[in-house]
Amino acid sequence: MLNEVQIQAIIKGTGYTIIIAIVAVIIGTVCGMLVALGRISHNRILNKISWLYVWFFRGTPLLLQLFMIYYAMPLIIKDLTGHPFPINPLMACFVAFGLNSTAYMAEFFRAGIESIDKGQLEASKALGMSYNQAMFKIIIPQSYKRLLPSVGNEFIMLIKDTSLASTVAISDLLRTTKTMSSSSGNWIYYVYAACVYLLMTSIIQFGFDKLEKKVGAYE
Amino acid sequence: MSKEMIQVVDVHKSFGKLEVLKGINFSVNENEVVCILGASGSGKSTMLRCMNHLERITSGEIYIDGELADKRENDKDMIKISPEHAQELCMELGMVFQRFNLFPHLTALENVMKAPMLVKKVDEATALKDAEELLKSVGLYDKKDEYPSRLSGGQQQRVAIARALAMKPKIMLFDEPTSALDPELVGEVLEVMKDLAKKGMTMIVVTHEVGFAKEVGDRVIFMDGGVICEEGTPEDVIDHPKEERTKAFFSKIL
Repeated sequence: MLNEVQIQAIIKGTGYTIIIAIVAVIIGTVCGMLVALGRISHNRILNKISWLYVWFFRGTPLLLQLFMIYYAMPLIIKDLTGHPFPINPLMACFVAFGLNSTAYMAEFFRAGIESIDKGQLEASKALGMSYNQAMFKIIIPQSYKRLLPSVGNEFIMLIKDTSLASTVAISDLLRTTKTMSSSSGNWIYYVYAACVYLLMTSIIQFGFDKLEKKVGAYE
Repeated sequence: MSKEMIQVVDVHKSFGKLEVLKGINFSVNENEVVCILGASGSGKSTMLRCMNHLERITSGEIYIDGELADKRENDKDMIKISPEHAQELCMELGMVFQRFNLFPHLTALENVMKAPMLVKKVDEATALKDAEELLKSVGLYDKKDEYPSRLSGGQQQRVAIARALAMKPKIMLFDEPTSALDPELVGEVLEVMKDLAKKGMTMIVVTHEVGFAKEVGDRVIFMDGGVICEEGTPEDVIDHPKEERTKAFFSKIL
């Protein structure tokens, strides 16, 4: 069984996992919406920039992005400015996971917004609303229900992907488990880890199912 | 001499290589009800949508309430109007769509209140009072808290009319308002429109309802192939058409 020190270590590791996933999902939601608006905008520059963003962050491995921020960026800044630029591993995780999540969320949001009937934007315009008013008050609120499954999915992916944080010296849940297992020679810790991951993802799934029903009440 | 509320001068509209409007001229006076009839693809709806900038004209001029609202040549603006001013002018026009386009995530009441509060910054209490009044006038006060999905097509279209009226437009544009309705629901929407006409609203109605055009229309415009083919009183155009194309059209549908 687990002793108290091990329990504390697992809780701490789980804490890292949760905090990284939550920060990333928040960054992803806010920035993802902005990138999505760029993708559907008629402004060619915004359009191009947001396309490039999604192209890069969706097209390269998350682990590479994490290494670029944690290992490569300090070196680049040192080469450019001559000053050392140490970066906190947790901060690097927030940034890397957040930027990566932004790319995926942006595509979900774009698809969600584009799935809303064109007549809604026309009706808003005919009533004198500006593009922004129509987007934020009429179109986007209607896309929530359609977005929730993908956002929930992304959240669950993030919970699992945070295990990559162990590569930049963060003692997340998986790394903690591995350390315990290899120091004691006992495999059971991996089962505990699986249970904790499943518990977290189940809560998210359950929460999003509830939310979906609530948000779509008008249909 | 009554005042011209809308004046359309030599309007052309092309979608790519396809010319949909080929030089349209007409005007609508205050308190007048003008019905635009014609086969599908004759450009009626496009004409209507050009007036409130849902489509931008390729060339021509549009005046709203005596003011130049749009003047374009080769798809380029020929007058400098700020987007705000253009928006203001378009707000004089209320529009009712074939497919209602109610906001599904808002109740009937919220649908009517939304635009005045957002666009005109009307306070909530006033917007609520106006919206309730309007829903009463279209006979749907008891449905005010229902979401559109719970309303019949006819009820949805009546809410849509109330929603357009909430912006206090000077002119109402109807784009085939009864074409998406089951036959038994057409009457209730036409009743509301007749009511509106009686109250003196200036209306442009694109429709297939010849009966409505005859009964309520002060003037009928028959469009065909992107031009106005014939125009006059309902009796003249519908019952005694002069042009061959008009004759052919009405002989088919009457």
